[in-house]
Amino acid sequence: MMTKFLYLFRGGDAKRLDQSPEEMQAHMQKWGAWMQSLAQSGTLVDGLPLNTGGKVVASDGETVTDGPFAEGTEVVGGYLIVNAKDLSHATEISKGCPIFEYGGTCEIREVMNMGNMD
Amino acid sequence: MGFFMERTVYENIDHLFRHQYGRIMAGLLSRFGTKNVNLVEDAVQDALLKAMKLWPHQGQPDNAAAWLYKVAQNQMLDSLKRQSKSTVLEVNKMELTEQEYQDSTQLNDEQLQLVFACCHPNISDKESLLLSLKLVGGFSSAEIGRALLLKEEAAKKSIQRAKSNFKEKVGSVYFPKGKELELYLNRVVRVVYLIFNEGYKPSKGASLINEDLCGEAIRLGLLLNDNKHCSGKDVQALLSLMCFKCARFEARINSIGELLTLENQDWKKWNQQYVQWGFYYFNLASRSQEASSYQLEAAIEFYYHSATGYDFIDWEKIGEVYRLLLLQKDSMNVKLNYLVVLEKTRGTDFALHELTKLEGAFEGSALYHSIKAFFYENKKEFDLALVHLEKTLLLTDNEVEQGFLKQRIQKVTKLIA
Repeated sequence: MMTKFLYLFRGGDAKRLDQSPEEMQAHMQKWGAWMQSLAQSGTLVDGLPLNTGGKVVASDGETVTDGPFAEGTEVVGGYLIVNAKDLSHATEISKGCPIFEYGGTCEIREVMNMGNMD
Repeated sequence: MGFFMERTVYENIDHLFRHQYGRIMAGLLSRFGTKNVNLVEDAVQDALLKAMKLWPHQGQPDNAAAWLYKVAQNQMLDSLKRQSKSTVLEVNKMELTEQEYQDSTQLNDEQLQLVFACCHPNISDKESLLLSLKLVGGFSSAEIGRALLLKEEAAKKSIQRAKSNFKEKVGSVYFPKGKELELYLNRVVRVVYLIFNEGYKPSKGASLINEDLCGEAIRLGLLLNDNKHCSGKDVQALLSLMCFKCARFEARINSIGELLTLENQDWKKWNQQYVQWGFYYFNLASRSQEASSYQLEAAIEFYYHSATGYDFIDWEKIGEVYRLLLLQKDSMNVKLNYLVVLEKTRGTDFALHELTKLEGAFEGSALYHSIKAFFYENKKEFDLALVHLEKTLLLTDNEVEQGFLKQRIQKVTKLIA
């Protein structure tokens, strides 16, 4: 029985500013290869990168602020949803992710499921 | 350096980002002027970042180059709007259609314009070299530092200085005409040769960045040769020269990273594809009667590569070429290298006598002492050879060359004892 997990990717952007086009391409190709391996094994469910900047809405829509303006390392830059047996399996899978190459992090969260509430 | 053989210089996927970087920089700088160089650089970097994040998820778009260009241009317009809130920008005029993007002639010409701008007469050769590598070649400061044997911080500072000159002294990016073109072209060819020589310097271990620099110089040479206003004997002779030398790129360093002289190289390891390109461009360049220094330097390479082995090199012919070269380019390197040839044709004593005449002027030259040591070795005067080898070592910064010298010193020391 597979469970879905969410990977939230944070950071890694600051160091990219000094990267050369060649290094950026190499990094991109690593992501491509990793995602392809996830797709081929049926692990990958969904995922997209996010643009920086946005709005934060609170208090019934009365407060709308620009943001999130957290430190570079805390801003969510993208997400993936994967199939895994359990949290430790999902953790193992995440270790192949190229996000770590430039100091980024991956937060792993189990997606709630009606049939999996024991 | 496989790209050259297949002649897919411009669309090579291995260097897609690096090459597109230069193309987009060229396109945007010719529209927005050099004063915006920092904004343009940020815009291109941003487009590459977006591609880096999005393409692994959604796949590479069909026309990846046009996609990158569009994203960079939008980013550029956004930054300009943010900078001058009240100014209405004419956005539409700057849109490049898919069709235009397919037209590689226009894009290659834009790249050449940027090369010309980098080699503007108000900018020094050294700065032209840095600007060409950074803006056209798409090399980072760290990569340029590695290639030029500079610390990253030092490379960054030099590039910053070059860029501020570029901003202030160059202004618009355009295709020069007539007399002006001639003036620029001389400089451009010289800078391309400088880039090549920097890349060709012996370096330690897997010297990918050096290979890339040589590749970039050849790419620029091909760009020039593909343009009817720029193509000519100098460009073709330079291409020939670079290809001949590139043929020996790997053969001149052995498996443990030591530098090998022409005599000690395995000639079978020379890259035959490059040799053929060398001959091809040499023939193109030789259609003109008067010989430029590039043609003469290519001719020297031509004679090396026409021989079937070291023992068959026609030193007499090479000597003749050197004498012609000396009339045009009375440089230290040419003079000293000529004496090595003279040693082959007139004997060691004669060459050593001629060399010693240059002593005063060349005392601080590593090459001078290295050649002198070589002559003494040939005369079996090993104690004198050692003196000059040690002087050479003191004057050499390049680690690979130092290793090579230490080897020679060891050998000579053994012969004394």
